[in-house]
Amino acid sequence: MKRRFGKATPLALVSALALTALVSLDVGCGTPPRGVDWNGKRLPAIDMHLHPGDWDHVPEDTRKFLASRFPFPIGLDAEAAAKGSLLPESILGEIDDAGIWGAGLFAIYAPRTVGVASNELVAEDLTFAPDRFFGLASLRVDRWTTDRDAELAQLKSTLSRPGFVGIKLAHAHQHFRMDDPAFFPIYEVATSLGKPLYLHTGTSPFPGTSQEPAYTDPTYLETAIQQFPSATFILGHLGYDFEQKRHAGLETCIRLAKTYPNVFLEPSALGSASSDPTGANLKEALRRMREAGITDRVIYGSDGPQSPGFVKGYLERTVAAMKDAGYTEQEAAGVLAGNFARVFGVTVPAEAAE
Amino acid sequence: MNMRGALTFGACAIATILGASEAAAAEPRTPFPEHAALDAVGGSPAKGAYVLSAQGGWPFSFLRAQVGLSDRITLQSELESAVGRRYRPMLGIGVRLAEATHVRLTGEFLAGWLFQRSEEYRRGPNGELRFRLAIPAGRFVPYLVLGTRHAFLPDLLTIERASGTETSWSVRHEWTPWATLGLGFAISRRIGLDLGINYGWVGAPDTIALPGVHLGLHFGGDR
Repeated sequence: MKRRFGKATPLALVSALALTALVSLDVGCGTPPRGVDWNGKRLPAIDMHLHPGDWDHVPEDTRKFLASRFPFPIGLDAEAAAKGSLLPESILGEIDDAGIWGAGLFAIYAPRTVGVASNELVAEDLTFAPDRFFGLASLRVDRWTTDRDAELAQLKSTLSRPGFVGIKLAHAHQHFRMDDPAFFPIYEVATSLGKPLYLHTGTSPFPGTSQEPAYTDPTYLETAIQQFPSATFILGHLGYDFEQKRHAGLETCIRLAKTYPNVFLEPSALGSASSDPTGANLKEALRRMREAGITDRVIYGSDGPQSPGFVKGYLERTVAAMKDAGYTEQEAAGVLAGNFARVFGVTVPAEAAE
Repeated sequence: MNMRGALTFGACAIATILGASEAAAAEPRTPFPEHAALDAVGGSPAKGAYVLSAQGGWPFSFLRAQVGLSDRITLQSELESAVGRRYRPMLGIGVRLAEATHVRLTGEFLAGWLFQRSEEYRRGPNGELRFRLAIPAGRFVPYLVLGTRHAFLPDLLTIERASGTETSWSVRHEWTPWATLGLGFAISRRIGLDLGINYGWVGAPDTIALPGVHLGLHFGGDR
């Protein structure tokens, strides 16, 4: 049998087309429009929960954990990837790619768990996009007996700097009980300066976390919420159990939000592909909050940047979950940006959704 | 080579190969049913034949040598690298399971060691079972590789207490399903190229992995 070389067979063409299709995926289509498409209308979006950082101040075990969360093979050189993704220009690129207008940047002082992203680092990052980045300051609590006054003074000083709009705390990562009155002076600072508090609730996958209920169960915050009615408490992650990948504090968070006007909820991270593989838990959370009539207390956040595309993906998951739960345009607009703007006193410009 | 560069390079290579095929069509030559490109991507070269392959890409690159021990059995060795931080030297055999004018099916079993140098060091024995399906048509060889890889990673835990030091060993299993879809091309009987898309889901199912591409150059002999 004689054959002619070079005659492209259908199989060869299919292979070539498949390869070409892959290449075409990398072809950009320009800057994506800003805002979220909601039944043909664009709604502005703000991601209140993003982490800048300093890889050199992340504990070794946490580095390993973070490396394992990067897609293969990015995690093989996690240091380079993390250093790149934690830079302000990278964060801005991620939110631009997602169509998000504004972002909250968190400082954190948890040297034994997630590491340190100092107030100074956040202050520097805020200057990169001062009209779109909003800083949440934090403080060390691991030497509270001796350093309390100095830490509170530094917190006040940081909150007076341009761009800082709130306070970030994570009892589980910073190893102090939610109901320990020794730390209530932090809430006094929040009250006196009118700065909302963002509080991590629920367990955490990070090595070294205090996973016991007093550090993770939002029930333990109720005393402080009652005692500081003028302070705004934003309960991050809805008390999610990141170890078992299931809701644990959702109903408590909803009860607190319904009972106390100074409680807001933020459903970040719990709906990620690794924490909620089927997407059912994020849908349930958004559905339950709507059924409880507290959509005006829900503030969107992702807990990014984590890995390239995470910020965009989490927003898409959240929007899909809201649509699935029957959110109205007004409710969705509130969750995505309006509630953040109201709580933090931020004006969202018209170009945030166009 | 970064991802964008690799993809762009791949697209250019496809255009080059397709262009070359048109030129070759205008100049018919004697067919050569078995050639280095087929042996490389379809596996199991015939008795006495060998093929050496170098495949570079992102994130995986490979060096591979195969030599036919009989008309069905092949000895092969392979070194795989992922972005220069993860290596798998392997040794194994290939068995030609089916052969027809337009089909070659090969089963391969390899065993070796895994070395990973990253935030988390990984070292341990690993093995792979894979199947290669090649469908040669003239100079072109579309091919598909499906495999399953298993690495066993020992961990030594040391706890130092006042009463003494306790040590214990545990072993983790790392599973990597593997797929490659590619297109080989015979420049001559002894020299061939291939371009492929790889998907190695390292650490499945608890991880996310990115697909990759490679471009290979193959040399064969003893025919």
